[in-house]
Amino acid sequence: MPLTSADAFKLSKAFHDLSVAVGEYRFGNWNSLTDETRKTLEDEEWSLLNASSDMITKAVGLALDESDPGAQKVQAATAAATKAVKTVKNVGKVINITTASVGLAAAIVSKDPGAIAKNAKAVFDAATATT
Amino acid sequence: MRRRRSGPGLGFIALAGLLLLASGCANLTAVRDFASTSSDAAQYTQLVSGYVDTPKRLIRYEPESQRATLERQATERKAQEEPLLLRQRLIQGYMNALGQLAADGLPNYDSQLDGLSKALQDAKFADPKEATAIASVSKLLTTAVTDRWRQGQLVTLIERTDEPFQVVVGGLVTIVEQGFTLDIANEREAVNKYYTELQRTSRDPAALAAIGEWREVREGQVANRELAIREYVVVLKTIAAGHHRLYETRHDLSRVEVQAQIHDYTTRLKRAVNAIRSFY
Repeated sequence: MPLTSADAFKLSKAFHDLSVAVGEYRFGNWNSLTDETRKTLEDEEWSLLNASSDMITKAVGLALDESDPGAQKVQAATAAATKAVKTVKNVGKVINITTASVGLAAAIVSKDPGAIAKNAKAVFDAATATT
Repeated sequence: MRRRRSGPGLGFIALAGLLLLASGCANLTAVRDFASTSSDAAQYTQLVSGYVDTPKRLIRYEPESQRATLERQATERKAQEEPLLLRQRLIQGYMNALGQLAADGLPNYDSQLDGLSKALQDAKFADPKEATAIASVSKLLTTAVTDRWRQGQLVTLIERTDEPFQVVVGGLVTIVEQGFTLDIANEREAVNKYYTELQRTSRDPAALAAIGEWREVREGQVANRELAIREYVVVLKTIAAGHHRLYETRHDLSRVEVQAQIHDYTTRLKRAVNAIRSFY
């Protein structure tokens, strides 16, 4: 998936929003979460925030060409993930969504097209399975 | 009795224009001021350092498990520092030369700009269109210096530079307006996660008070950087718009109305620069 600067900026915003949404979930449900779950969610929040930073670094070094359809699918998957995290109550589902999203971010950073497509689908499936 | 105002310095500009016309040299005070203010305003290297050093600052907030990621990011950002600074220096150097031509002086050229286009292309940093534009502005600047251009070639310089100059400044606007702004939003969120966690887990009132104060300090620093970024976007957009106005009015630059319009761009630049200074 050839990423353009504009795509990378959008993905940065998407990972930022997802990290914020998971943080709001963790702090909003603080008393009902176990220490272990809090730790899992927190680690994933930081991974997503750092994925957002990675996308900024990429965007600053990329060309402003036409967006690739593959990048649009990734944006749609992360947008669905953020929306789902804001609405679901089940912590297991939140963890599934965030784990899949962290995997997607890692695939983008490693520039592996097969892994990007597979992880984007995993994020989308996890997000839509909760709605 | 109310005094009639004739605009900022219009009388002086008109009088100076008449005197300089008699000496065969156009009065381009407003162009010179705009160029020199733009040259000073473009060089806010602290904003680039702020962006480059974000991963290092985030180390204090993030858990140890993220350390390797942040260190990798710090290295990647460091590699972007020089091309970013070179863009700023190209804008600064070009506007400086433009001001010198407007004053009928000989433009200087920073020898380090010689390597700008090559450095950007070697780093595979810039968009191809942008790399071409950077090379074009840089080449025109070199020509102006080596051919010892004077005020008579000012129109030629503006005419030939405006298109690539808009691309160069536009590229930097995108990076600052989108990249630096997203970057500061991430830092704000890191501060939020870190201090909210501490406030949730601490029971000691004295510790909570101290945490609250530190949070305010850090949030204030982030807010100041965010405002400086916003004002720097104003600076860059004003430089681009002002230069394009120079291009549109290139054959009438000594006209009083045109000088007044250029003066407005200078005023806007000074206001934005003063705002940036107040945040640092």
